[in-house]
Amino acid sequence: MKKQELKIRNEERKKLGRLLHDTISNDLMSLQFFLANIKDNPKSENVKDTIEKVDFIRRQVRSISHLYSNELPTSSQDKVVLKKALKDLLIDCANVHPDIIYNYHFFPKKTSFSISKDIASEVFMIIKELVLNAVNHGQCSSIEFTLTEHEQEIIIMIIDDGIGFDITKLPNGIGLKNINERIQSLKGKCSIDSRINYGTTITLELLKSSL
Amino acid sequence: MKLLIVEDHIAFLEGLVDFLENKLGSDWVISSASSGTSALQIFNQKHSINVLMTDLNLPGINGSELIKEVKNRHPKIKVIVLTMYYSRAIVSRLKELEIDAFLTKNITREEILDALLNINSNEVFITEEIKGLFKDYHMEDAGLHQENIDVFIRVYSLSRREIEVMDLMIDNKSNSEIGEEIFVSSETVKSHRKNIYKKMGVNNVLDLYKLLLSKGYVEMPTH
Repeated sequence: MKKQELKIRNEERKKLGRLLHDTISNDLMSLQFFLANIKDNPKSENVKDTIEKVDFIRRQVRSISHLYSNELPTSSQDKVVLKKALKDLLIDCANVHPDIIYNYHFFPKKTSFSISKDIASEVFMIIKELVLNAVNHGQCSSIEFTLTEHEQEIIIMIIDDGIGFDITKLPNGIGLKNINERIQSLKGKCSIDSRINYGTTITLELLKSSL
Repeated sequence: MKLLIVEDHIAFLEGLVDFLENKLGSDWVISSASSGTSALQIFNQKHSINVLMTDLNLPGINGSELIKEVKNRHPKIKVIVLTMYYSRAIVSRLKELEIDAFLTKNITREEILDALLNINSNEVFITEEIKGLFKDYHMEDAGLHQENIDVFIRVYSLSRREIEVMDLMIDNKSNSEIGEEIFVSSETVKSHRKNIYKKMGVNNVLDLYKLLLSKGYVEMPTH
């Protein structure tokens, strides 16, 4: 068990390292060019472009830290509005992986269902792992995200069009195995449909009364 | 060329006729009708219409019945469908009718003009966003990049996948049949179904069908 945990942690570190290299390091390099450009040609447009670039990098760093820390970004309140937290998560994903198309549909549109912070951090750990798995390993070009509030439960579905995987052979380091245990402790259900080359569909059903 | 436009939204019809008369010039003669029945009357009077452009959701005789009837009488007529709603079921029915262009109403007038000017080429003119429905159906073909175009997504907050599932539901397919088509378990289809009912405000597939019928998203089967 210890060995497994260590392996997962190493995988995570490798992932983070690669991500920092692929995003921030490349962006800083292009920022260097932008600055050199200002030096040669101090036009206001060039300055504006550079400021935008800095802002882009700032957002990226912030989103990476959100995605890879286990804290919820909205930590000042006791209750967490599910919709807002999910939207924030997608914004973070979009900052880090801007090449993916994110579509989300919340129903009812003004759903304001909120859950306690403890449970939210649990639920979000799970959702984050699922989404990160899709964007980091799934090679998807789009993700569809729905949250539908019913009388008794909340159904969250995450559908990507990536490479999918053989669900009988769960990939290492993703923690999919643990997810079901965690969901069950919340009296919920989690199911994963995936087939190689046909994307992945994840369904989370959470009983409102247990949230 | 003689063009007949059939459309029950009068304001839309008048605007379109004005625009086309301006752009097409004197080579084209445009007439219009606001129902399937009056369109057929025009066909009874004038035999020389070459192009029929019609909405599908019409009072009285609906669009595809009109097309069928007109094609029977004038096999060489060119047909353009202009519609607000579309589904896989409608598209496959239209494919059988061998129409020449399929346009959705959110396109620009220039695109409508373009379709008319190219009506004699042998290619079927299809609005970009629904090209996927004419191919074998996969998520990526269905024009996922064009979010917010679809009326159903806007009004009912349905996702692309939910629309895909809904199209299969109204073909009266079971959860496991749908699952086989989109490569998910029947349990997952069940969740989709639950969400779709909730969003559409119905409790069963019959009520869903009735609602979609009233919106013109599906058509009454013609027997």
